[in-house]
Amino acid sequence: MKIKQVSVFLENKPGHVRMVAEELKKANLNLRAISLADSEDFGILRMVVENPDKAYSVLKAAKHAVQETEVIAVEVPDQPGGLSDVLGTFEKCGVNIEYMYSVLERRSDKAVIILRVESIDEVIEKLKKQNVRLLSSNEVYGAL
Amino acid sequence: MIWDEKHECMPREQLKELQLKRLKSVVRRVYKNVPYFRKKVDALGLKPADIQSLEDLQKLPFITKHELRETYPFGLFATPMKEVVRIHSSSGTTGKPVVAGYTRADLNLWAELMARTLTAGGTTAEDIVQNAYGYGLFTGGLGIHYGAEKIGATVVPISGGNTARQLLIMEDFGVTVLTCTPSYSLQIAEVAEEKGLDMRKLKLRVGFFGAEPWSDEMRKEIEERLHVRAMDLYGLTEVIGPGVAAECEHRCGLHIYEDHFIPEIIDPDTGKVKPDGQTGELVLTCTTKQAFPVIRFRTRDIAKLEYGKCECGRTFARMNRVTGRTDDMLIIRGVNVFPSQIEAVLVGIEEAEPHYQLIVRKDGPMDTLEVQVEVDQQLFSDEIKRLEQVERKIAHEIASMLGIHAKITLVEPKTIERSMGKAKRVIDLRKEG
Repeated sequence: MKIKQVSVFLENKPGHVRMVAEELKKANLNLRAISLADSEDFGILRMVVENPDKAYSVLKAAKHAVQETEVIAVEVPDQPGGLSDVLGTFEKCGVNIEYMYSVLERRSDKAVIILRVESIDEVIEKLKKQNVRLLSSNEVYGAL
Repeated sequence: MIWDEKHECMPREQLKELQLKRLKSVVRRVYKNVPYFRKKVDALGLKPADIQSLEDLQKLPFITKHELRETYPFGLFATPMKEVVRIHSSSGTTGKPVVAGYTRADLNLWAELMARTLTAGGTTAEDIVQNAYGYGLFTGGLGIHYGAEKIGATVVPISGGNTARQLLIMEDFGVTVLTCTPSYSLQIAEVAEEKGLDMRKLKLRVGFFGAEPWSDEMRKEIEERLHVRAMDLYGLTEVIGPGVAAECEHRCGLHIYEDHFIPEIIDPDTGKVKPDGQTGELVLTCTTKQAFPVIRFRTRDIAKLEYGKCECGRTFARMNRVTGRTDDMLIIRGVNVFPSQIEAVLVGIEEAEPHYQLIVRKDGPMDTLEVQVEVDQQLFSDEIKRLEQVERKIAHEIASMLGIHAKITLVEPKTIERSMGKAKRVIDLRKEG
């Protein structure tokens, strides 16, 4: 149920996100989800890639500061209020979200969001009990 | 105005005789009393008696800042400690500082030279001198202090900081002379402007600024904003402190007090003395100091000497304002900063690797320091707040070690320019003039 996310440190400068995209292109890796968080002078590019371990080693070899982190992927009804309902469950379980972003492709009438939480294993158990549908890594990395 | 006309305006032939006499004497004395110097001279197969002309000075070995650290703290003192009545020191915080000792005669000499300096800029016994240089181990505060007292001026030993109070005292006491670093003078101007204080209504008329390189452009700004005549002075702890050279009213270079210090200009790469009028590294020899007389000290300051007579009547050589240094030492808001000190801070922080670069800029009147630190695998965290914590930690450590605020910027790995495998540590974007 845990998804591997690849994060890369970037300076806030033109062309830097592209450098990462270029590495993935060369390695023939497809992106599933992507988000760019920024602070005053640097950013963190977070991605879910079809082969995270390969992406990690490719980027590392290209001298990027890169990290693998574990996140979860939650299915959300693709309709008004869909996110609110799911987050209501999170709240009930006392789960704090560090950050979240959505998966690029749509899966029929469902959307998928990627979430970073603390104590990921506990959170997964809690959400399962609440019947929140979490996607498996295969579902996320492969064609959805 | 001239404080010591007899010496300051001495005909050059006579001055050279005096220099030679004093040079011979200091070489003999230091050779006898400082084993470190003796060893270096012996290694060259020289004896003090080989110094028979001023040109013979060129035979003697240089002494570098690095060697001064090697002999820390008192290794180069030429008198017994019982004759040393005061110690000053450079601001080396993690690297070893340079320690300077003064006998009573040295302190008298220093006060004399500072009296010359202040007089050359128009200070008299009628003046009230607000001395906003830091008091303490730093030579600026006490150097100015005793020089002003020697003239008979009224000294306000306020030291640096508390700008609002500086202005209050300046106004209430009717201060006429201000002494501080050039960047601090602009800080004072800024606060005065904020308070709506009209500097033209104050009695302040002249300022003596030094301890950090500053440009003619900055002089203009200081003069306009503080409504003073801004005078440049030059000195360094290793030689005596302030009081090595200063401008006269014509402001066409700084007169070096050659009766006590012999200047040379060398090529920093070859060590060869350059012909008159050429730019190079300034080397100074103290000929009269007792406790800590450096011989052929490489200042690392880039300068040019002018020997033509000045309209003021002084016969001393004039050096242009110091516009650069041969090494990486930075003077930021009057504080000496060595890249190695920043490195030491980074080494001490577990998360950070010492791949860094210092960028110095001028932001309004103040120097700003940015420290770029490369993010590597170890430092990188997926969480922005962790990275920001590391930034704050580095800034905090630098502040507590060096007493200056630095902006920390994290940069991508392997992005700091390296030449021949050696990282370029300093980019100084302050305008040098």
